[in-house]
Amino acid sequence: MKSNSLTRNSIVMTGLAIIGVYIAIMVVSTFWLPFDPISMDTDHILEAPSLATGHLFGTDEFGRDILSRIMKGSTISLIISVAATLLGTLVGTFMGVWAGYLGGRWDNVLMRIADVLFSFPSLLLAIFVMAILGEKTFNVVIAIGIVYIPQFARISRGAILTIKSSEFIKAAKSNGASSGFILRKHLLPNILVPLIVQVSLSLSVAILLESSLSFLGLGVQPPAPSWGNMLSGARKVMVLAPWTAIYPGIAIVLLVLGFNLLGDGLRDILDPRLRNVR
Amino acid sequence: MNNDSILRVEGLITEFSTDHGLVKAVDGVSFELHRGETLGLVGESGSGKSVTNLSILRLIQSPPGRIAGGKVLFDGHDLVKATEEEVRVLRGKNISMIFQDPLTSLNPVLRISLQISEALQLHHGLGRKEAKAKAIEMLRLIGIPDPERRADDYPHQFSGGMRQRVMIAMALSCKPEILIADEPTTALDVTIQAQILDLIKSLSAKDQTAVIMITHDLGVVAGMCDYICVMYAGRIVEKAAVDDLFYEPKHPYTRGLLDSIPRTDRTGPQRLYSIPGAPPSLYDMPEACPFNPRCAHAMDICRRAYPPEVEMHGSSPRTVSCWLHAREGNA
Amino acid sequence: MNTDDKLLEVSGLKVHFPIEKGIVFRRNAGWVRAVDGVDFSIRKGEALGLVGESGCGKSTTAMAVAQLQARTAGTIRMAGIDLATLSPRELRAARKDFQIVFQDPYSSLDPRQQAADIIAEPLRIFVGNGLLDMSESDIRAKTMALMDRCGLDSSFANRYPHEFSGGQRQRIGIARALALDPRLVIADEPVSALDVSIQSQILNLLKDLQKDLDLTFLFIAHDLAVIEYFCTTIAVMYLGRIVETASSATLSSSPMHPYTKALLSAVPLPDPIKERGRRRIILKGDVPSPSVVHKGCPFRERCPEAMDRCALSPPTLKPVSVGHEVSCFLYQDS
Repeated sequence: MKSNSLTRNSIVMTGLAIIGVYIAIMVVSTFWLPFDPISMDTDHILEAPSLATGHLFGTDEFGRDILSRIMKGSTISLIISVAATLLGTLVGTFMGVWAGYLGGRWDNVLMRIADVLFSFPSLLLAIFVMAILGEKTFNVVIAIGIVYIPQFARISRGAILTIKSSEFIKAAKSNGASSGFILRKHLLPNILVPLIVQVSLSLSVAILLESSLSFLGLGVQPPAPSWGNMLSGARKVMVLAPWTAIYPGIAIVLLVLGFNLLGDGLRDILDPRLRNVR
Repeated sequence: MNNDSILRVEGLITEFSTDHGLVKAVDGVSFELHRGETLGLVGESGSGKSVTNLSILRLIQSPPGRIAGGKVLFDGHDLVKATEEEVRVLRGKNISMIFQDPLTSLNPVLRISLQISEALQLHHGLGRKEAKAKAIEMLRLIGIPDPERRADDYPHQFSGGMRQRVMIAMALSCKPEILIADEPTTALDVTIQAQILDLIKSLSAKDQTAVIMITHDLGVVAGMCDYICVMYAGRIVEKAAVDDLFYEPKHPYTRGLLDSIPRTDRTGPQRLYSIPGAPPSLYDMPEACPFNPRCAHAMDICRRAYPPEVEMHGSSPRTVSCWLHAREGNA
Repeated sequence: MNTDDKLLEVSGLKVHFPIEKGIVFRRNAGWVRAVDGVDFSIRKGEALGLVGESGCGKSTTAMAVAQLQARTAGTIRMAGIDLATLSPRELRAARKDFQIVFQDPYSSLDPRQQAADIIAEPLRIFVGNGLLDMSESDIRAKTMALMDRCGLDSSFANRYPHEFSGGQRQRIGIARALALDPRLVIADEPVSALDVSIQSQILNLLKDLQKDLDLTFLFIAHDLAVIEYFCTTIAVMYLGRIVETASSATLSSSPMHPYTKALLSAVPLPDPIKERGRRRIILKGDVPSPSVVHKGCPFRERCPEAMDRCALSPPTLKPVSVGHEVSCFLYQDS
């Protein structure tokens, strides 16, 4: 029924809308913020949200406007998540495609490396990498990226294996096509769909990972705002001033939701259409 | 062949809701099955032959499909209107079905003897030991060598042909009145196909089981069936006794099919006839004969209205849905 | 026989796949003898059919000839040249002479490529490898000509495979196979996956192309009727070996090998009176696994006419009359 694809589309649209709002906030935050997110204002510590003072989300334990910090934090969170996911995608897909295409010992070696990485719980692995590299913001990108490598390796390898023995690959080989040609022109375009879906879903987890690392003090260092370290700072004063935790929390939840909706919606749209149309 | 009618399908309509619109996979199909008779449902992909049979046993996944009209009369009951519970009781016991791929029809993690026994215990209330003994008997009957040992094997240890034989044995173990065989030999080698068809013939003759054989292979139909329904785009275009159909086909589609099949008994330089075009897409079917774009005899009226089913004169009852014969017979 | 006009000569072809057991240290536990000593030749302009049931090795033979499957032994000669003696570059160049039409119209076309690009790809690969000199506009023109020749409307050039019917997709596959003007076309079950009413369209197309372009065919199928229709000579395969070779007419009128007889007898005829009157040869049992070593004739276990002799050693192909060879002790003395 036509309404089915409409529902699927609306899921994607909602996800895109949410992400769009965050991107808009990010753009705006580069040239305008209601207050200075970094400098302290000891006269206005832990003020409740009110329209009168202009602190729509209240202030934190250092008197800083929470809304401004959330807006500023959006830039960092988005950039880190996108960069990390990109890193994981590129390296992981590279590994998975070669493992799937070459098979044999290469497959074994590459996938065993991926397995080792995969066996760590994501957060622990990220912490481990940060401990080695040091607590710089850039290293957060690398840490999260490494967490993603095995997932993308597995997905791209699986996708390659599915089409590797297709007859159209044999046809290309029968014309003397090189492995590079086949990979470029035939294999990669055909594994785009599962990859795109996985990228969307990974972005949401990346947000969570970054927030968790920052919460633990390993990610973005204060006074630079990240939703994660805002939550960390709010721990002590949450009971007195719940707004210090609620708003950063909502910011995380909504963005994760947005990416999840996008990923789920895309998966529904992209796959069955290719299957249904005979 | 006696005249006991055990199944009557009247005006069956089954449709599916898809993204691109409503598809009438079966659009007004009627036929009758008699005791001990083997009926062939012949057609190509999209003809609706499989959906017809799934509809008889109410095995249509709903949504997106549903039986939108018609009756399936079995033993006085209309299966279309029966409850799920009533139909479930019939399945396997009175009406059995075997499918094309025995690998997916058998449970890969259960031993063969268990799967056969299960059917016997369920429908005949046999105890476990009795059921297993009967299962081994059945394996022997269908020609599995060393049945006592092989009964404890798993499906993947059997070849495709043997698995299909197990399926047939399971289907016939409860002595159903009707066996529906949906392309049972399409995936099998031709020498194995001969064995399987032979088996179906002998087993069904034993208990006078009526068989509905669904296939695209006109050779199989010629050897197995007493009566044939030719399907195209969701409808039956011609119904006749087997000899009538093969030696005096009335519908241009039937004629075209018969002329376009290569045969091993005709060699030497010859050119096969080919029906031009391709089977139609079932979306947005116009009010017309669905075969008309490919028909060498298409007339103006063929493009404007669907031809009525007309009875033809002959030694046994036969009908055809074609404007060429609409005036000839009794409408 | 004039050896000059033999386009393809295959002798002693063997393709054995190793069976490996063990997870960490893989050791050889036997061989799957998919092709176990096959000899045949095809003269220019002829069509040789390889027919047999699953596991007989016909597809593997075709893939070995097409140089997509490594052979374990034997030689494959194309126009007198042993393909194994060619360097990788020479082999790539030689590929233009033998092209393949695949079985599955759904998996033989890249779902992400447009029809015209699929057909033009062999040309583009060859141009890219420096083996062919053609401009982009020449390639486009040739693609249009090929589509026309294969019964595809040129307006379909920019459509994707899922927008075509099965028969049309097969036509695209055929057009692709003709792009490099090959001499030999290896057709691997080209009509098996098509609807009955479409099969004859494609068979007739192939026949017309054979005549117009003077093509030679190696035709693989499991359907004996299709093979008899299309091919001039037929080789019947069983468990990796050829058991009988004869012309199309001879094979259907006077088959000699017990397996050929059983095969012919098993094919259902669309003729009820004939079907009722037939005495079918029903073979016992299933096709044995190609990994089992046979001391005598591999067909012995199922053969209704097996003799003691058949258990001692395998028979070889020997001529019984002109153009008719059988591998069976029933027809061989000594």
